[in-house]
Amino acid sequence: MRWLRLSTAALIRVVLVLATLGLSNLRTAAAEGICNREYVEYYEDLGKAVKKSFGAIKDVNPHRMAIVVISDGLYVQSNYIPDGHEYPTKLVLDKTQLSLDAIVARVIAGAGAGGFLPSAGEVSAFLNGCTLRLDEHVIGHPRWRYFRFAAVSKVLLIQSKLTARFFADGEEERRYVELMPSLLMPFEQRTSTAAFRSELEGIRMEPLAGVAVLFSNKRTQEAASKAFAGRLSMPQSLAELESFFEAHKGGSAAILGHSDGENFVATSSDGKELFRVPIATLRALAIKSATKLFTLGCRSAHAGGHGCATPFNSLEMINRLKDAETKETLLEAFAKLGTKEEPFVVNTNDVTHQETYDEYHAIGGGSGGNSSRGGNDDGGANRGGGNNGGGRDNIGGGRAPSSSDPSRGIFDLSCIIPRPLVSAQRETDASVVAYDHRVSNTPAISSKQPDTESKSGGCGCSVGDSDSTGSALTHILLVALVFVILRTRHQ
Amino acid sequence: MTVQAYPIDEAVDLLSRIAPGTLDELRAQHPDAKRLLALGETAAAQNDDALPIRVEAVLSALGAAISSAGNSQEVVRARVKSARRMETAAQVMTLITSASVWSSVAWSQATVFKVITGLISVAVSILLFLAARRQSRASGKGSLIEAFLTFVPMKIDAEILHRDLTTWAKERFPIDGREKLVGEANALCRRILLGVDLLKLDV
Repeated sequence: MRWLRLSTAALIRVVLVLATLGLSNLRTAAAEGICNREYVEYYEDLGKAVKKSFGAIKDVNPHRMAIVVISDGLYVQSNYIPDGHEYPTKLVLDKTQLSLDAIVARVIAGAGAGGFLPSAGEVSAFLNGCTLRLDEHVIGHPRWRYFRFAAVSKVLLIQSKLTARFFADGEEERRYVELMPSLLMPFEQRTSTAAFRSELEGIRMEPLAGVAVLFSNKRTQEAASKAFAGRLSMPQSLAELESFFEAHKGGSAAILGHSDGENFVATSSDGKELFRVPIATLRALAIKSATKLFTLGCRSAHAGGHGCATPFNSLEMINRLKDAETKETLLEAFAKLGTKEEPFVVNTNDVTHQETYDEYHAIGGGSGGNSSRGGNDDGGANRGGGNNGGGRDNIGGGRAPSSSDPSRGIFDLSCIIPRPLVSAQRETDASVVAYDHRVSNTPAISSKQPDTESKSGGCGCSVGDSDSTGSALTHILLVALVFVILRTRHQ
Repeated sequence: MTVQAYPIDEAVDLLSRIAPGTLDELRAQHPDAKRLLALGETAAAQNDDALPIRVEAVLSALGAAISSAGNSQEVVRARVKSARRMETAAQVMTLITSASVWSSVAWSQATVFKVITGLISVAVSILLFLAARRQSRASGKGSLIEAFLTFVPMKIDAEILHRDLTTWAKERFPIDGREKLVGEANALCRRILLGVDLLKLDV
């Protein structure tokens, strides 16, 4: 047994080789398949449905892409035909941790690119001219939390037919759906889109009784005093702001200024903070004094009311507000406060609703029940299960998509989800549990259920590029291991 | 390291008033900073970078203010002079009118002569009224002279800030607390703008 007495150096070498092998296997566990044939094997129906849906898109964007959740990962299809190929790229991604940019790079490169991926500039140009059909279950799911959609020109949600909008906010990305091109609501509240829209349409807009401007900019203050002569207040302290509320009790008022998402912050022209007031406090004051309050800050919608989705210019907002107060309904007024590029955001629990006040006071302060939106800052999450489901886009919210309705068009894509999503990462997040539940309820319409394990080689063309590379690497490493062991025996 | 972004809105406004060409050049050089170099205030996160652009904008505004300060002083001086000239003219006319009144009383001349005398006396009253207004605006509280005097320390402040910011920019913006100079320069630009408005300077 002398050959077993290995030197320390040889032992280290063996351990290193084994560790490399282990890493290589881990890498290949996240499989990806890339194909440029007409259809990917097992996903022919899905491929046809996606292709048909691309034909239905009418816009100027030259590129189309669809991202659909399949059993254990994602199916990606584009209309982009890479050089040297006859058909657009399709990707089958299993347990993918790739970013959206990395996926697009593969779509542009196509099969057989041999690891040569396009530059970041090419990827960004593609996204800039791309209409994306997106399975909305991708959004917010922890597995795809790395995805950032703000760079995509247009995103159409597959299940709800709504247009989604994304805005970068530091490290985060804010997600909304369109009520109108200049008016958005948070993505999470999309179940009540139609009802909310008609509700806003039914509320009459009143001229503003008072406008408080917290901007210190001289030109802004002059423009505001011209636009809202006799109604303008420029509070320099919290006490002055409180008396502004007192003065406009029962009427409608607007506050313009900087907002950090939780507070309105008043600063002087040298950048020093004068005072700050929580938006929640303002909302509470508004409800208490029955003031219909417009909070116009760039992040004021984060606190549950409304505000701009993007930064905005103070002078432009004054003009928009002047226009908005002449509108007949709250829907038109809110839409006027934003533009297509700088849209306005409204939450379903917005306190500017007259109904909200009535409800709030009727139920003695906003507690419980389906109609208790007033005074409730939970983002309107309780509305989805509300009492008027018939009039709403009642999608998502735990309901499995129907497979029998031919009028659903692109909706059919979600029916091809063949198997429950396997929680490979053992996520315990509540949203993941709900998600798994949704998929497990999905009727499997296709008898050709792809085998997850053999999927990487299923296409028959170059699906499994990375797998084949991985297995070649494994072979080389195995040979190296045998070689090392044999050498150590001879020592 | 993220530093607080001090505002430059008043500096941009001042530039648009006294050196619009410089502002256009800045905008052309930094197309990505369109929002930052727009008139008005931007409601946005207060920790974005673009510090060099901010410094460049306030330096341009201070530079333009310093160079046009001389012109403003001339304008103010000319106005004070014109007020004095008006007063002298009114005094001469008063002398003529009183002589006319005395002669018309003494020799009861033609009606036309009396009408002319009356008209001159009305003109004198108007001229005196205007001169008095101009004088009070030139010397009273919140007046031309008070504003003129505030321009002198403002010019000195602008020169000091311009020098300090230039040094900081040359050292490539070390984060050592000097970033607040941007805010101070912006506040000074606001004071200058208020002064310009008060003087009704057509700069």
